[in-house]
Amino acid sequence: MTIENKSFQWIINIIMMAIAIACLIPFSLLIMSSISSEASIIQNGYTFFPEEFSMKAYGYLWTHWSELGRAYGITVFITVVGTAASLAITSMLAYPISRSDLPLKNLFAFLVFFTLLFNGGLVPTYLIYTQVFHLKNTIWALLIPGLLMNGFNVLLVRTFFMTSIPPALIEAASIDGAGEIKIFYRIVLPLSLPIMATIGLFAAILYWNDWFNGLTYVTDSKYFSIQTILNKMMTDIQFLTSNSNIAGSSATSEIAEIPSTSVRMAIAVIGVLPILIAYPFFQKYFIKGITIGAVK
Amino acid sequence: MKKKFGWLSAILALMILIAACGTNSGSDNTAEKASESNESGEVSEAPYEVVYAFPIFQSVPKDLNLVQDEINKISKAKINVTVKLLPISISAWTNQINLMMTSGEKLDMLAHFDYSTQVSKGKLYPIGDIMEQYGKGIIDALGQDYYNATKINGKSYGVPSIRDLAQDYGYIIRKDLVEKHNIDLSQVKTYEDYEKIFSVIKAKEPNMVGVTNMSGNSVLGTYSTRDSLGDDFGVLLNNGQTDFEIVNWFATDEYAQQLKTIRKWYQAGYILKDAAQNQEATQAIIKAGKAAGNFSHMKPGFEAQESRGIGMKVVAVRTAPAVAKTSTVTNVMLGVSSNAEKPEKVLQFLNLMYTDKDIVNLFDWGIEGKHYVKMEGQDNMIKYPDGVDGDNVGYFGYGWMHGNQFLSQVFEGDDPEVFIKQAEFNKTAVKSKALGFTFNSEPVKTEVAAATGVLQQFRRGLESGVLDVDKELPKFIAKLKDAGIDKIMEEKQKQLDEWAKANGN
Amino acid sequence: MMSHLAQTAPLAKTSQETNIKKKQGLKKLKRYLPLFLLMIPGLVYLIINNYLPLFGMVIAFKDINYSKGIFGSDWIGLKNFEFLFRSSDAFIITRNTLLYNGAFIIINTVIAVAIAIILNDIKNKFLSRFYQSVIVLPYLISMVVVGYLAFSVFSIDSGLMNKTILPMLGMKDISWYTEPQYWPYILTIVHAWNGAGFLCVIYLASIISIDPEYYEAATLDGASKWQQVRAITIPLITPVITMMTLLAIGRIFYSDFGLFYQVPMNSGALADTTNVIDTYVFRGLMVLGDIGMSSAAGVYQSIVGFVLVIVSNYIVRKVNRENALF
Repeated sequence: MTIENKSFQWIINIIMMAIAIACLIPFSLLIMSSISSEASIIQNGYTFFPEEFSMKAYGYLWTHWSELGRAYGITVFITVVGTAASLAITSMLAYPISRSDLPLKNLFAFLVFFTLLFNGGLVPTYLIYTQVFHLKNTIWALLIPGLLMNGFNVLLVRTFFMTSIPPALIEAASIDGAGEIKIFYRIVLPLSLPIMATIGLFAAILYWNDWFNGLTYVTDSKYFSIQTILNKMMTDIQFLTSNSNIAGSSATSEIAEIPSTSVRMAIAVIGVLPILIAYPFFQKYFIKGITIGAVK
Repeated sequence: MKKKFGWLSAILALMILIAACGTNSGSDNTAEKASESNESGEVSEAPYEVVYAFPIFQSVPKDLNLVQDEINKISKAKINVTVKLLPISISAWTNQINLMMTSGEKLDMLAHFDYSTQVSKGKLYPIGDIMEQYGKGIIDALGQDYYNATKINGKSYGVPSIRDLAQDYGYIIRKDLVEKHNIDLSQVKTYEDYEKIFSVIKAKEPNMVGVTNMSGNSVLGTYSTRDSLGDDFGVLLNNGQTDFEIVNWFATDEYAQQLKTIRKWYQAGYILKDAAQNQEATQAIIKAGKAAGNFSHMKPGFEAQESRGIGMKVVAVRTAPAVAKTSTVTNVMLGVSSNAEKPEKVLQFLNLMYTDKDIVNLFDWGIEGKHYVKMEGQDNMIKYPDGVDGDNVGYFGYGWMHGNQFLSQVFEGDDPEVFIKQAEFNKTAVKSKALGFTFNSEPVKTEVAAATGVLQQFRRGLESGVLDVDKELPKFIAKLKDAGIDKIMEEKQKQLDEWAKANGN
Repeated sequence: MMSHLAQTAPLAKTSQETNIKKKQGLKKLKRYLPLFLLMIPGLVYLIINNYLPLFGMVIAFKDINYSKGIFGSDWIGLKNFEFLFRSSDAFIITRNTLLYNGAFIIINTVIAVAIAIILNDIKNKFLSRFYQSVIVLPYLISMVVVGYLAFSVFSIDSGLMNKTILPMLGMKDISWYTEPQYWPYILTIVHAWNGAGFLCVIYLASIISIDPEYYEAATLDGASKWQQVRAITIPLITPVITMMTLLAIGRIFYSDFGLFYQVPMNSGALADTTNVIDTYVFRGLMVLGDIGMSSAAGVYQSIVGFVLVIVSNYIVRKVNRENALF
């Protein structure tokens, strides 16, 4: 390596390190806040160096463990199944549209794009899914509405296929007698691992973070996902604290005992951690080397 | 190009088809409903199931179904009706009810907090029509005055749960501070007098302010000397005691004076600097020793309730009289859904919630021996059984929501006579002249939306003393004018005059 | 007679033409059938999830009454749209929405592409992976929590700024939540912090897939790093940048609600620089909860976005057909 290259590496590493710190600082503030005591947060706000530590927030979440444990299971299930299904149908739709020789490809692209801008809103969507497909209070309600595929990912993958897969390669395979479907999964997909990992990550984040479907299509608490419960807890606490006259009427001492200021931070922490653990799995496909050059 | 249109029109056709199906099924439903209500005289064999949706602010209690079964034992024997409790998280509440109602899912009875909108949007069945027949007990429990307050154009669409139906206003402060610094609370007679408390706190407790904001609200919070007539766009001054002339509250001298006082306090350091942004609960702030107290609306037993919430004894100063207004009555209501198949059956069940002591106690406290036990030697007082506490009890209910709370037992720690006192309070409270008038904002909803936006923008800052009154109040008033507050007030005055005439004023 | 002949002749001709076309069409269909089959699940999903619910747009033109149902409710024309323009702030919120989103598109794209290029050049495998994970972290934190974190910095009483940083610089306290002039910068920074990492992953995926042979050849020719970036990387990821930008333009009338509502802590005094269409609609409808009016706001935002995208796509097509969306 030349000296110039070495100093170049130094410079870019310093830049990236600065950016990484900028991303990490607020996150560490989050973690510190979740283990600060209620009183010290109220007196001094959220700080990196709280006067007094307290695990009360996690203790509070722990008392809801039976609920949360089940919800974690649901979330892992829908994230895994949903991400796999999402990857499959997204790439299956994106590939044909990416082919410049496909008849009507612009129309299809437009149809996909149109869905990004216009939507009928929650009410009609709910009507379709509950009245026509009877998804209410089923596990499908967490998998299908709104999450399974989105136009953004389709167009992203399509653009990737268009720019990164040389048409000559497909033609060559076609001449060799490979069918379209075989070409798709034997040549196109293996060449597209980085983008597949990217949208896989996006889909996984989407499924993992989704609480809306749980609140909309599910009233039976047995199908609540982790984010649905966390979101409910957060809004419940917010509601209880801002409507003390209502809360105070119930005899439970719970309201006074909820460490509300640190709990919301603890909730954010336990919601994010698993995604961080899953991240390296997707990252594996972010390596250089599986490139067209290597295949050729 | 042609092909493109072909595709689009195919999709369009499909959509119209679905839409048409939707309409069909909709009209079928109403036809069914009509035919069924015709034959309501017949006695049906199977018990009718009432689906009762209500908001819940915690996780669903694990013994909910057990309690439901117990309630059903009684209601089935008495009126051949069973209930299915459908608790919905408060975060999903509004959406979920809208969705259930548009999609025609089974929903018979619901709690609600915005009576006027619910009625104008057609969500509620006009129970007034069948009230005399099936809901007599509710009228008796409520008293004619308060029942009349629910009538819109002469018809009732829902009934308030029986709880504190009036409100008085004042300030609570930690008892230990009052004793420590010998603060004479009796010298506080008016709103301006609170300064006497705040200045002592400021001088003696350097790390504490005199007053904090109500959580999610301003410092002034719910403190009120007017009848807001629902939304504060056009109010009656002096708690609606004088006449029926609607005025723009935000442009009154009284309001300006209140704001100036608050501003003065803010600048003197009596108020939290972050009062307009602060996201913490009032109780937590007081508990942490950052503030001495806060303004609030009140009721008998309020001190005990707040002491429990804060975890320290508090005392209250009351400076505005107890008043009953439409808003204090209708802010927690129960009603029959316009989707209900057999409204009369639903109303019969609702009637039980206002008359049957056993049902009320099941709703409020759960099953005796399992979720609560009677306290020895004290009639009507209950506590947790041994080994049970607030964290692990299998059931909890919201007494203030489920019907007639005055039939409920009193939990350990509360004044044994709290409900008797509240009933007395409801009776003796001053009644606004406009009690019973509910404003229908539908004709001016554009203006209401725009004005609500303005309110959101200015109110919390001004009423917390954070903003400069001389500069921002005129802006606030001007923007409200732009948004059309005059038109709202005109409509409101019109409706109020009609209402007053119809009610013999 | 003449006219009859004159009519039939071209008719015959066209039917012959269509026959040929049909045959070609059949052959084409057979060839592309597998591809169309692949598309079926995705298209069916789009129809169910996106196209069928479109009938709900009628809600925007109706006065919804629940006892009458959606279709039985009265038509009220454009009345639901009126409140969008009723306020004297209509100009301010439209301006804010457009300016912020315009700035966000440019700034975030530049930052994301720059980081992606740098990341791609990092030789140390471990560090590279570390950076990649860390930059998406902010994207995973909800805006409500970001709002609390921002509050810990800007709180008048106990914030980092007023308590530590400003005194260190010898400056006076600033009442952050009542002084609108600072917020365009704060919001832009928060948005970049929150969203650039996510965008960066997309660009990184495209850069990784660039054939290394290009760079090898360029290095042999003695091209500098900067020249390589300009001549190879940027042109090759331009289609992705164009697509992302077009999509962002389509949503230019929408705004990140959490960013504009939660981060300024719903402070009314900041409205001049923080009020956007979504927050205006939210505040106005908080009490009324009118689905007709909220639906109207959505339709308005969609239509403006749609028109803007069609225009920009047309321009992109003129410049380079390949890069156009459709």
